[in-house]
Amino acid sequence: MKVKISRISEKENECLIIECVEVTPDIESIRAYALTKGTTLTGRIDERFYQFNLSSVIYFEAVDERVFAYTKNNSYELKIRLYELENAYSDKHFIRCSKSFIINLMKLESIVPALNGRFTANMKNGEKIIISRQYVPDIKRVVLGGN
Amino acid sequence: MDFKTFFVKKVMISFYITVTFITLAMAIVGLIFEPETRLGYEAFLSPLLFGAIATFPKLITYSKEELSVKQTLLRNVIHFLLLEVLILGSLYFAEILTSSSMTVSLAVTVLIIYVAVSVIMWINDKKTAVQINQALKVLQYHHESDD
Repeated sequence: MKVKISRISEKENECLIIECVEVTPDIESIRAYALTKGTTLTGRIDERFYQFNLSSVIYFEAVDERVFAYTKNNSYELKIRLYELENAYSDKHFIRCSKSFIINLMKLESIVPALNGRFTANMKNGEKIIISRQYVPDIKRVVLGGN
Repeated sequence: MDFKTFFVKKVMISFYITVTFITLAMAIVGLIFEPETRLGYEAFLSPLLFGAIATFPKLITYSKEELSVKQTLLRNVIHFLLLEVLILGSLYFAEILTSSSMTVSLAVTVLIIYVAVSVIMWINDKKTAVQINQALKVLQYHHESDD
């Protein structure tokens, strides 16, 4: 595969274009890798695209086949799978807490046991997110100093 | 969690543990109080039967989706009532329950054990939550210092 790099003047216009005959798994993995590089994400609100900092994300949520990033004031739709976010940002304090959610540990206020045998994550913005029991050991390991 | 994983991890493991402890309890109690009694082959079936009665109603708590607190509480109530009916029913048909006072005291005993197990699990979860919350504050403090 040929690789071309063209220099441009503005950071926000940086873009990776892949020209291919068909979208193979290799192309998909390049796409996923490119989408997770850096600490700036690109997301869509209605039909417009915006850039925002990864550190401003409170949590990611998968709804049906769509993935959203929630910040204090906005929710952005992302073109990436939840497991790809999990793999890309596990070293940046993002951790899976249920089948549909990845939370930012830096935006987590506390966790409390819920009456339904699960835990509740009280986020710093006041939102409450369910933590499935099966993910608690992973959260404990990461928070207590493992990785 | 899919049904197969739930059945193997939650129900069958619980079944094997229960059968083992019922067998052990029968052996210890029998040796202490009725060491001369000799039992037939059918005695091997009673731990399996009571193990099944104690664990299989757990299937009622299975759900593919995340349950809300209300939904979980409702299922727990159904689970508990099913346990009561199965335990008391099997003892009634085995002609072990001979009086209404015995039935009531056994039903209350099952309730006390059920509540005690739930409380112990909640205390354990609370301990885990406190541990995670303390470590989380330290992690966030170090993260802010690094920024």
